[in-house]
Amino acid sequence: MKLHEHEGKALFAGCGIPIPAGKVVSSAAEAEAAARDVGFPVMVKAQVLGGGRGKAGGVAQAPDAATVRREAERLLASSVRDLRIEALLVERRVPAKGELYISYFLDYASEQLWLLFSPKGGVEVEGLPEDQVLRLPVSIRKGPDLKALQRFAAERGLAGLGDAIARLAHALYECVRANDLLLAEVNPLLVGSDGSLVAADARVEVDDNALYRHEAIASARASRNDRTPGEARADALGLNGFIELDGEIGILASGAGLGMASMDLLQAAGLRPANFLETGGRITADLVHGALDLVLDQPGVRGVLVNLYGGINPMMEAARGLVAAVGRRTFKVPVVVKLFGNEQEEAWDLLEAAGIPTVRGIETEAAVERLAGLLGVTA
Amino acid sequence: MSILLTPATRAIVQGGTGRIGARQTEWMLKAGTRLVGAVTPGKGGTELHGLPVFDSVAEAVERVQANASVSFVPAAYVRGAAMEAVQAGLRLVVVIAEHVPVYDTLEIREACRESGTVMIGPNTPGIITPGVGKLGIMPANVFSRGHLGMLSRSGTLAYEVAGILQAAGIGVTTMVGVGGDPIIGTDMAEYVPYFAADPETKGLLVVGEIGGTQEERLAAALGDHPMPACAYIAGRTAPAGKRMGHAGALMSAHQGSVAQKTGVLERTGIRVAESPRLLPAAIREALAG
Repeated sequence: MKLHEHEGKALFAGCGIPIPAGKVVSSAAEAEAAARDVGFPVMVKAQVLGGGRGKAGGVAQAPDAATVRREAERLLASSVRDLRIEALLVERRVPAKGELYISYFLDYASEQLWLLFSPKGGVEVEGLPEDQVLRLPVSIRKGPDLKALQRFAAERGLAGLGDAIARLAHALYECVRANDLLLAEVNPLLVGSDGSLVAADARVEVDDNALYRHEAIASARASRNDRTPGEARADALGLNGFIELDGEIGILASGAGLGMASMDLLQAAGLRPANFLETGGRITADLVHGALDLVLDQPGVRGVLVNLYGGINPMMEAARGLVAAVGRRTFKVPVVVKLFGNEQEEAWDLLEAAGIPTVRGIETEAAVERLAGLLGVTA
Repeated sequence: MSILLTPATRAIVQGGTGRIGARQTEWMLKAGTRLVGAVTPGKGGTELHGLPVFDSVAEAVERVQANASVSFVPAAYVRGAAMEAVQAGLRLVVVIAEHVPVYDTLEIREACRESGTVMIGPNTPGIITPGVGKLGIMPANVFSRGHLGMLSRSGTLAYEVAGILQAAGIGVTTMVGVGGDPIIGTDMAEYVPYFAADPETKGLLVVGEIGGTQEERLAAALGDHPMPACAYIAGRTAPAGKRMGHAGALMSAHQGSVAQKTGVLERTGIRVAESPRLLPAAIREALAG
């Protein structure tokens, strides 16, 4: 889960990392009041997720109240990369004699946490020459090698700041671990006239699997309005995954691999998936009923492939949910079911008795062929 | 022979006294698995399907010489349970839970590497050696004993593939579900030396999927330990930038597509079948050389 700048900064402040005085507002009047509170000059910053905000015009400087009002009105009426701006961060502008870069990020490709540091902040780190960026692998059990960071800083002419940089890197690492952050990027990290360091921006991403132990972040997510109605329904059902696609065949599968294989085999048979849906392991009648309703409610669906395996709950549960969902519909689209696992024979019998096309076997291809046949499609 | 789960394995069940853990314990016993006990703090002295329950892994090691664990504890308790197993000196730790925080996985993995413990998972169906048993939740009845090593990133798709192989008369030495998370205890490539050293394993079947670089690293490992190999990779039609159910199955615009993985595998001489149904023929061809 990506955090807004102000949310990320709140985490930083909680770990002892200095941030500029600032307030989150959602109207021009509030922006003006906030600017008077924190003191001019201020920065007015659109709170949208993702990078490239500055280039897209989402950040403005304001030396006085009239400018704050004007910029706040402009930003609140606009979008950055199609994302409506709903909130602004009004911050005291920090006078700086230099800009640095620091981040921690968990890289799935190298399966490693990295500390990145550069004496050249304020630009995209990917665009910097190799010799201007320190990339240090971080041991999860020992923490970052702060001595190596200090040596690098000294070699790049930042000897006087070595201790401050090391302290900040330590605090940021603590923040990463305390909050399960996959990314914590400070760019720029401002160097004040007295040599103090201030985090002027925050790009932060939290591990979704760890939200259970970070209540404040989890509640911020719950109130966020960034899901489609279908995605919200899928989350409410407790499905593991639901992705809307632009085809006409609904998919209900247990397991990501089986779901993706179902998509691939449908496509190979000339049928285009309308969605990807993964139930997760706890298959109950209610879950399957809700999931099939969700799939069938998608506009333009003219067939459904159900592909389930039950390792814990008996397949009779799934069959009852499917029969209930199909029975409720007056407008019938073909729903072909392939399922295996405990009580599979009883489940097949129940489905067939309800007139639901059922494939008695383990091959997804057979179910795809059955569905293609019912729809009169030949690959 | 087989890998990791062998006749010498003496396993305990962590989290076996919950509803799901108890059911799975029963099925592992039915599959012939040599389970020597269960560990649930606070329930020591009781019994689970005839197995002694201990309060700690250390106690299970001392009393019943446990050397492996399969864990059904919920994600929030995985780190504590797995660390306890590693510290008690177990050689194999299987973590079934999904949604384990990634830093917990990394901590367990670092501890395992220091102690030489093999960690399977998290987010895995586990490991099965037909004829010896299983540490995990996969259906034993679709796996036949044979000469193929099998590695899978997915659970249910692995069962379907195993069922198709079984119908074609092809069995496995050992199947390892490596886990569906982007960072797991042991990557597919790291299992290759085990299969290479097993005299009964004549070839390798890989069930991969989009996202990450595991299939590419597996291809490199097979370069060092040559053996006949086949693969099926799911997610040919998955959109870039979307997490397909579990977090490991995320293809970026630059990396992790089926086409890219197929290219790397085929350049190493690994046959990639376009659908599960084509795997038996591909395997026979690969084994025939």
